[in-house]
Amino acid sequence: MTDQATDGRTTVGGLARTRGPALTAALLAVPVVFLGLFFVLPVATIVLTGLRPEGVVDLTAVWAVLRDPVVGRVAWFTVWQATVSTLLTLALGLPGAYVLTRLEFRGRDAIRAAVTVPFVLPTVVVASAFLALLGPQSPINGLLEWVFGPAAPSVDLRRTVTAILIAHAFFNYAVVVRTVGGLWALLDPRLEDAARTLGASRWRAFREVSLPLLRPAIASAASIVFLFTFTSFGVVLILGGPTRATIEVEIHRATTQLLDLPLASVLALLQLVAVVSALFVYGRLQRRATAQPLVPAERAARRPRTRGERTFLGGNLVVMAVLLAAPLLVLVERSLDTGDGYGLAHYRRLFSTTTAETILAVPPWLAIRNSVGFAVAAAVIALLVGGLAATAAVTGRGPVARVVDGALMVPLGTSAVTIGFGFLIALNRPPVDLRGSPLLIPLAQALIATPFVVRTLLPVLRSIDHRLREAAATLGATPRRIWQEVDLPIVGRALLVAAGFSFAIAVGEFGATVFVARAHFPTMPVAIFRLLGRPGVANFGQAMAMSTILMVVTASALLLIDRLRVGQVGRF
Amino acid sequence: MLEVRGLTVSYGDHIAVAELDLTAHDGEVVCVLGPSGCGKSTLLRAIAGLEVPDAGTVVLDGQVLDGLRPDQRRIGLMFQDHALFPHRTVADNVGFGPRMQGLPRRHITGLVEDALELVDLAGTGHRTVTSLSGGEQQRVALARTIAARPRLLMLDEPLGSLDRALRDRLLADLPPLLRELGTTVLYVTHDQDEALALADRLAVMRDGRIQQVGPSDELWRSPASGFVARFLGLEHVFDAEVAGRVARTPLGDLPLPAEDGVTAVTSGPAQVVLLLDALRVTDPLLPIRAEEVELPAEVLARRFAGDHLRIRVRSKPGPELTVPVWRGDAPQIGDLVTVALDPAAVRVLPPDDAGHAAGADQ
Repeated sequence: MTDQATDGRTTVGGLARTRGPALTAALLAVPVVFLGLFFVLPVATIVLTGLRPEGVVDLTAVWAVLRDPVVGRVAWFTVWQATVSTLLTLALGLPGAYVLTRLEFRGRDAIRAAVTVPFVLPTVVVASAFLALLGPQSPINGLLEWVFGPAAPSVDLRRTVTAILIAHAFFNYAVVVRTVGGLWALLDPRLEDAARTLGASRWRAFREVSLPLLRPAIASAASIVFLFTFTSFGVVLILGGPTRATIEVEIHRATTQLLDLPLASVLALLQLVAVVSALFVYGRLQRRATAQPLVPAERAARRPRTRGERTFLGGNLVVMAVLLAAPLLVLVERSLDTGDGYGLAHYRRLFSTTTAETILAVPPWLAIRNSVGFAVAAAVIALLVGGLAATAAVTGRGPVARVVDGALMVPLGTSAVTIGFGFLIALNRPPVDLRGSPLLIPLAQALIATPFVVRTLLPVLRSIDHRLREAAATLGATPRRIWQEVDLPIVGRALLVAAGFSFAIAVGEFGATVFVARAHFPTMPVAIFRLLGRPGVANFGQAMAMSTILMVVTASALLLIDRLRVGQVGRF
Repeated sequence: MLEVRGLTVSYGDHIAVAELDLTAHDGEVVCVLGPSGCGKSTLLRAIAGLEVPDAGTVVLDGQVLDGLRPDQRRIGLMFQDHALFPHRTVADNVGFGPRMQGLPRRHITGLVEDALELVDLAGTGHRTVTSLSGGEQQRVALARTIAARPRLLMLDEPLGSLDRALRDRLLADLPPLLRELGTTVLYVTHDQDEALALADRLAVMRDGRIQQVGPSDELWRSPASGFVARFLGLEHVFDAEVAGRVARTPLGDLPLPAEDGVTAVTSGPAQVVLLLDALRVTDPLLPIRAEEVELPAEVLARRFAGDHLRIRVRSKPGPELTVPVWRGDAPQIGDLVTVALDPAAVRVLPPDDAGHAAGADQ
């Protein structure tokens, strides 16, 4: 999709051309205040707390924290697990991308859509699913017992690095398939054919021709996966156990258990620097992408012909089934397993228990109500802020547009935990005293959702060809009718997509919410986390049930978006 | 020598190449001419090993190629739109084949230089292929195919994507170049000018089958079917009914040619084709030859074709005809003229196969 109208003019209506700067400033007021209070202020507070633990700038304290062997171990583990997760995801995802874009088989489009689902699931749901899949009660062990009898070895991968790595691959498989597959689908197959006739073996042709051409997409996918896994929080917190902490998890631990805010601040600073560097590298990689001879996707795909190709296809479908489908199926299965047969006992308990019967401070169903309420509020805020900012970015000229565009993306690169932690330490005193207020939850969620709103709206706003409006005007439409007949149908749809997207993000948000959600206002992810943290079959069952509900809510919101999506809008 | 026997390639229900036989002798340039979608690209891909045939066999210089991978066949295939590697320089593209063969670097450099010189691009090795013009890319693609020293050179619509002027120039360059190489060449095109300019022998293909093979002048003189005639540019093809020594056509009854062996049908439904020199406009002052058939006609349109004109006339019996006339004595639109038809330039062919007609004009 082109971001610009054909002649390069990218304005919204005639308005912008006449009242440029003033209009832009007015549009920007709300986003600027919002970002100032809820992003700049918290981050600045983190920086100050980290650098001036005693009120004066004290770099030796920072140095002392960084030299702490525990911090070193955490930083090393963070980098290590992100690297291995990225390599594992690429190893599984690249063949998947090939199969889903270059081979034709029945059900391919459905599978390609289904593969994306894990990427948009809340981290807590994914962590729950892998607890269920990899725990002692898992179907894996059931299978082992069925084969080897009662003396069968039992596999329990909870609280292991393996569990974290597999869960990360589960999450990010779609990133590789989408990013690399998107290019692969358009790569001219005759390039490899030409290499074959010139004497290259199948593998050599791939290595010499396709691989170099795919390199920008692979690098791009790898850096996204690395960034996601580097800032991974919920998965590591729930699956990793106390000894496997990433920087994110350590920030959480320092804040909630050690009550060491300076330590948390320095860690958050470290995280910020690392993420910004990673984003910088990513930006550089993006710019180096070269022109490719591309063909229509349908010309690139063909049916598998040889036995080897069919085996390869089958193998990849098995990987997808085991890696992507099995955890979610087991999650649902566990939520229905009452100990003596299947039933809805866990679900009933979610809706009937009083505070006395649960370890939560409130009945579990309240968490569901809270989640939906907060997520709706967050979506409204994100839509308002993101919508105004996107409009300003489109109407503003040159540098203004670029600055707005760039500034709105910064929260995207900041980890959710950093934002949550920043909220916790910055918004408990003037100018913004929201200590203990449930308002903090939708505000934090909105901040995280806003960049996605902008990303969804900007291309659509930019793509509205002003000649459509001119055409409507010459056909006799008044300005109001033009807005109604041209702009609204196009932007309206994108707004709905953005709303659904924000809702899905907010309802599953965990990293920031866990910092600001007090015991009496848990959201679903927070409640699941607390339920999982307690022993007992009932707690586990309820966690599984609530995870299933959360999965259904998120998936429904995203399914709705998919029906509404216009062209490429809202794709990553 | 290349021998293709009974080759069949299908994609699902669609049969792209059907029980096809074709032979190309050493050093011969065989042009496969046919409309798009007739299966000619698939034929080349199957010979190269890029498609797995359902049946049939391909033999090159006595070696049966069936079951061999493309990289084991040493058959050069130059693709339509060239398929140059965009991330490599000209020299790296041309040197790709020799490198795959594991030749020492010095040897590769020599082959690359020779190939580039052959296509008149010496000294461009360091350039990126994306910086080249369309004609240059076409020649690099040819050099790349040649540098791999293939046992058989196959070209798939190599001039298809070029503009007319460039195409005509390269078309003039190609025959001496191919002769210099001495390789057996299979050249696929949908353009009869290209085919006629290059071919030692011409194979006209339709719906996955070869309809007729032979030297170009033989095809011109006696096309085997109405389809072949039309594809070679003969536009006067009519349904007919043969009875005795006469063909009943929309132009009236035409006597069958006296020549032996040129009449495929001696009775029943048939098609007649008028060869290129069958029609002329008579000079009112000169008598016509005894064997010629006279057709009164009215001039509908005139079109310049360089040194002569082609006029469109409606003959008295009904069908419209195109007749060449010299510029000097060209009649005007609306003039009544007499067209003389030479029965010796009429060919009587089998009736069009209805089953094939469906896919004929894509």
